[in-house]
Amino acid sequence: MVKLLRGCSRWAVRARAVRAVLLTLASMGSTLLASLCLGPTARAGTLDPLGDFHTDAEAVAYNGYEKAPVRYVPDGVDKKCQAPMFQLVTLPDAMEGQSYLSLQVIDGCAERLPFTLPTEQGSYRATVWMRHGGIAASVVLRYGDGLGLDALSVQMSPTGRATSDGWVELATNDFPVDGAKLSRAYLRVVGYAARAGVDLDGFEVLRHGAYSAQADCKGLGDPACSVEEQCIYNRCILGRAALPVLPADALRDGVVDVLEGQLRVFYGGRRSRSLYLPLALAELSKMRSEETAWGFWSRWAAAVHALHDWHTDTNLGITGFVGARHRLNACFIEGDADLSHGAWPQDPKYADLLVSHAGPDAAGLRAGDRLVAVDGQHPLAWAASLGKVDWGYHVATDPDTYSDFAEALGGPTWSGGALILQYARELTVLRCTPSGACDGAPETIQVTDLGTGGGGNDVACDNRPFYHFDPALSPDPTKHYVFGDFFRGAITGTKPEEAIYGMVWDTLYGGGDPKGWVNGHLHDAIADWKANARGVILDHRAGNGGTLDSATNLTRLVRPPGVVAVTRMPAELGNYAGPGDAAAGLAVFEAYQTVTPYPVGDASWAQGLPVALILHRDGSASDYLPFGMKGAPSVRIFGPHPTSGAFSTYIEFSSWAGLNYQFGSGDTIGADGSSLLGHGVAPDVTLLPRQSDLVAGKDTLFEAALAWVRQELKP
Amino acid sequence: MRRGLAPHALVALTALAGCRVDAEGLSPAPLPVVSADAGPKADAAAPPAPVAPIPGAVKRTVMVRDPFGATPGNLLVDGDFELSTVPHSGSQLGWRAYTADGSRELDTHTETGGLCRSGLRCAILDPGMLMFGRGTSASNRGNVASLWAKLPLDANCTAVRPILVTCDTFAVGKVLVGGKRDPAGWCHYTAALSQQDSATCLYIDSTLAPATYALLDAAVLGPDDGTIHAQEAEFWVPDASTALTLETLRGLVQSTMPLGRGRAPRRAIER
Repeated sequence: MVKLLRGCSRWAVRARAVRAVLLTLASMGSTLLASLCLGPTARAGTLDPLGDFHTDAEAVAYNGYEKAPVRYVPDGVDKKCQAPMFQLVTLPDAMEGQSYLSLQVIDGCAERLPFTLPTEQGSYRATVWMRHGGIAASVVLRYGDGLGLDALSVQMSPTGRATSDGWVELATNDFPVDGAKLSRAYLRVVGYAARAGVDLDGFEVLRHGAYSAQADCKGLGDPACSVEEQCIYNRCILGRAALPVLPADALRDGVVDVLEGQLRVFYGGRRSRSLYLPLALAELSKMRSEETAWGFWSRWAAAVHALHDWHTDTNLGITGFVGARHRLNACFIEGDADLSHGAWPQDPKYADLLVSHAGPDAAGLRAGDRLVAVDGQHPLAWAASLGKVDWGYHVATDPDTYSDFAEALGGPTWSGGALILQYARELTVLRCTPSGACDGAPETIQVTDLGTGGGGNDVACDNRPFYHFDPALSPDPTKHYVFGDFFRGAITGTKPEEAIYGMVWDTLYGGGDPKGWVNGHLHDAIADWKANARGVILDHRAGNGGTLDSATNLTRLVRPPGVVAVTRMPAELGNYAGPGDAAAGLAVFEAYQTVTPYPVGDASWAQGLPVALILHRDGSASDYLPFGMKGAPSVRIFGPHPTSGAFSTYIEFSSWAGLNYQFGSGDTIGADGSSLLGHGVAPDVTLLPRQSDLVAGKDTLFEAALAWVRQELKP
Repeated sequence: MRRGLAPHALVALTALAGCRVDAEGLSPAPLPVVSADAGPKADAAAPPAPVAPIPGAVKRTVMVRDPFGATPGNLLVDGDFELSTVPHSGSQLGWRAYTADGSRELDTHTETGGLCRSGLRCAILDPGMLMFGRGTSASNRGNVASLWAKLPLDANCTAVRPILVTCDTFAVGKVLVGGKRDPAGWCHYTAALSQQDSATCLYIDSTLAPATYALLDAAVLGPDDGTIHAQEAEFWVPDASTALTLETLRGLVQSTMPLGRGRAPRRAIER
């Protein structure tokens, strides 16, 4: 027992506490000791046998909140966040001493409680106790301007230690500090989900671990970064800072068991469980032998990404305050590089990558230029390989659809893309000349040689090289910010008597409100087209999905009523992939078409009105939409490949320290009994944007859609 | 669809729920026996909690608990209420809260640490609040369900009513029957449900008195392997008001089911 006690360094410095514990252990047994000494996560103050908390004598920073703490309010913070958002409470149930803070943080605000650290290079771990509701707590370290050091945000998460009166211990992973250059250190807290307030007490910082200096790097795998770091935006990012602590030995297998159970019971549908679930479970099993927080949670992220599902995300980034130092203000699109196959051959698996549109600071790239390689690989193969390193990895459920990767290569960092800026060392391009020649010599550009300037708008990537309404009605072509908006009008270059109208939009989030923003727009558009149009072009090339009601609503334009599928989601049965064959699927369809139908059409649909639907990167409700329109009498779908095949909903999980994740759950059964999940909707006309068209200012898919509509105009 | 009401052999709920018991309660130190209103923060409207220290007595005990829940393979998405605490409602989490008529979602509140029965978090059920727990059903066998609730001392266990419903239709499957409080003040509710071919969810309402609340924790839905037995379920048909609420909530849950990607912030930055 004494030997065990030596393992807890804090006990050695508190003889009185040790004596008390020895007496207590005689009657309690060693289980209490196990609860007090958790190994690497329990390096903070101690609870004596009476339950009083004592700070560690070796703490380099400490606050028991016996008096109101000093606050840090950054310049420019919202007025509503400027007054103190806590009360000092003096009651016997304080975790330490006589008082604690009761936080009532206003929505959108945070409390920042400064502390000081030694003016030397060191590595530390912080702990704090909280009670009631939820908390987002982090240690923030900021350095002086011009020192070349990035600010660091270090998340706090539960160690597993808790008390009978509701207190929960939170801790950071080890974090390095260059104390001489530090301008500010503070505990940042946001409290929520408590009936009255979130209590906070016993903040401590102790020396722990080894100091490591911040460093620059050039792309993934750069040895400048340690095994606990990852090269992102040309900086070695200390991954563990953003992650929960490694679960204590006593809990680790249990955590993996729960995460594994969630996937086994609830994940996916027939195709995704068959193709991807075994890969994810194999990755999860490796978590059990990981010995660091970075190793443990990186395995978990890799497992989530191995699920290969459009709805599945870790929803967690590790870059913190580190942003891009360079700019590649261009968007890439899958296409047919018909002008440059002589200079660089087509890949047998992946489509060519072309510049769709670009803004300032795009390395001189223009529409039609070709991206042939990233770090020596085909750009899509390179992006697909990031599943074990990119915490924002996003992929279609259909194994043969890659447009999410293409869209994410470029674009602004704030849109979830910018993969090249984040992870690559170099990119190789083929530029087209002003005369339209695109088969010159390849040019390799180092990411560190890209521009660093601001100026001009960031261009978002919506897979639309051009817009085709009156400019006053179109998205701004210098931005491409469609997002949740709707744009519609007559197609430019058409004659008034042709009455060809169109709509550009990406959202189908009706949310069950028939008169809300989305369904209201769809309702008005349909009424307008029924009354005035002889042809319609729907441009939904960055379909982000939404809810089923909006997909249903748009099909009311094009077909009579019916039920084309039934949803079975989230998972209707545990550990179950769905009907095993078409006959069983048909029985499910028959049984549920009045329970959970995907209804389409309307008795007053616009008979004879040709409707072209242009797709590119579309998922979920934006899968259901083309599925519901396909085969309708006057519909033709144009696209480069099938949609994402995300025919399910998802379930979400919100843990501590920003560890929020979601995965797809359930499936959809078509009227023919087939399971739809993982099978994207194939276009009626499969067509890739041509390089020759982009160089000439033409929009291949749109031109094809317009030509078809003109042939089919409603009399 | 098979949805039997007959009393049923219960599952290995004990095995499911109990496999983390050692990790949950490592401290054998006895809690002080104090009345709920003895301490300075005691609240007669709240579930009894050991929050009132007595000078010289044990103030609190320490324990180690799993932040991710205690029941691998639980057929409830978040039976242990560990992964449903968010600042704002609207996410498709394991637990969601609604107004009494089922027409609007509410933010949820949670308790922490040893105030909960297991894990680090548990839910607070306020009067007039509905809780909806997302789950699924056992494949090719019956189901058993279990829930713990801690109510104010003067409330009967029946003031909290957990009901198993079919997630798609909100058809009532079985009301969980509550027994007597255990020594720590928690009421245990159980029920068995025959084999289902659609997902099973947990709908919880209450007749809690105004200004009081209950804690909910350690909910388990598991496959029935016949090793233990659920308490007999009462024959129960929802009254008109409850039926209307169930239908309203069904409509809201179904129509807001997300079929889209929670993409990274789509904020335009003017440079």
